[in-house]
Amino acid sequence: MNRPFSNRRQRLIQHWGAILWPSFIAAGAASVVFFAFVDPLRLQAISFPDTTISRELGYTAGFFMFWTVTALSSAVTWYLQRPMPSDDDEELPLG
Amino acid sequence: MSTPCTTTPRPLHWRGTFHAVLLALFYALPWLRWDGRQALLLDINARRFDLFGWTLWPSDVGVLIGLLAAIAVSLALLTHVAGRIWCGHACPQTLWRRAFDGIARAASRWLPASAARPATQLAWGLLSLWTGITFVGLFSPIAELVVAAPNAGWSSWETFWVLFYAAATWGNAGFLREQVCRSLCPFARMQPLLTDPHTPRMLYDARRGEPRGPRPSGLGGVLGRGRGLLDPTTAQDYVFRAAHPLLAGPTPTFSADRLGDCTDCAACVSACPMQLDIRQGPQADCLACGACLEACAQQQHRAGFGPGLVRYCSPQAMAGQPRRWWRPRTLALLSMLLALLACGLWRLL
Repeated sequence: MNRPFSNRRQRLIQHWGAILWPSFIAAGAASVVFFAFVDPLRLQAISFPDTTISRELGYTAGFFMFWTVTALSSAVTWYLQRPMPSDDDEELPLG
Repeated sequence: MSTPCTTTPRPLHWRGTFHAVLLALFYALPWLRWDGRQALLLDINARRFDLFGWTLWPSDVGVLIGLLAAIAVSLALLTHVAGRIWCGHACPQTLWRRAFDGIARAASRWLPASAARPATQLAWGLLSLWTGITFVGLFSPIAELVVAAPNAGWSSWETFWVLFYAAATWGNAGFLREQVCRSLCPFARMQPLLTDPHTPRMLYDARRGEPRGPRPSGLGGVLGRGRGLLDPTTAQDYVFRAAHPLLAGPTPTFSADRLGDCTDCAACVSACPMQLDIRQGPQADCLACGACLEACAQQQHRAGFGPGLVRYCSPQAMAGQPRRWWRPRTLALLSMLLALLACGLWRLL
């Protein structure tokens, strides 16, 4: 059942995995702690009193909001961690 | 050192049964009842968690976090003392990957080649879907969920999360597979922090196995025919030569009586779910699942050698050093666990 992944595919998995997976875990943890203290219906009552939502919608929206934010943070970290482009012109022939 | 027993040894024969039992437990979990209610129901809609007769309300969030912390520290302590037991034998990724492998193997064995692939995908899809339903059944009463399924009676959120977890199961166990452990899992990356040379891991006894190579049958193992174990430096040299043929150049040819117990059959390599060669030494990606140990033991038995060429033991034990039970990390993790348990006890009493 072992099939080798190509290098490019493996890099893509590593790249997207490193952004999406830790942010998923962080968002899960954040949702558990946040919704343990805050009832989504109460939150809706003080923020959008004119719309009615179900608790499930509140939890789902809350989780995906957390995931978006944590994934954005992971993505920015990935972007900043890339090696800086070098400004020396070593590749140019000296002559 | 050939053993007189006639049956093929299966040192980790309990592995398949144990994994099947764990999977069955997961699928049975939402169906268990306790005092007329679902035994484990994290009813986020009603904001109450039922854990086997113990009800947690939103105000008990401290207990829940403490419970999770105690579980996490226990896992770290288990890994420190006994190695990657969790990764090899209890992690959902390992269990579902093995289940998916089992389905694919069964399909290719019983069905013609043209039907095996679609049948495998269909079975994977159904298992993923049932996993999604079971998972959502931990958050919303499963009996109602299953009754409502044929009439399309799920709420849109139940439908969404069932499909989300079905897709996650299929993606992790059917597509990403060993890449999850290799590239994505944070726990796998934490192993060097938790383990030390006294922690057991899957190891190849290079002193006994090297130099490796095929040989005529009936020669007997190195201990039986008096060649004995190599000194560690020579053994490591052979391991390095075999692992880096381009650097080390061609391996010298050995007469059959100088060969070690490794017949170079590569059963360990083809058994490894992570596509590793255990003979290259300890590797960070090794899950310690024991597939190589089992494959090697069978081949060694067939060749008439004794067991233990691949062993689950600490590098210290492999080097013949005495075992130390109490190390700084053992004490740190144990005191953390005891402190958490004491806090829990104090709160409950």
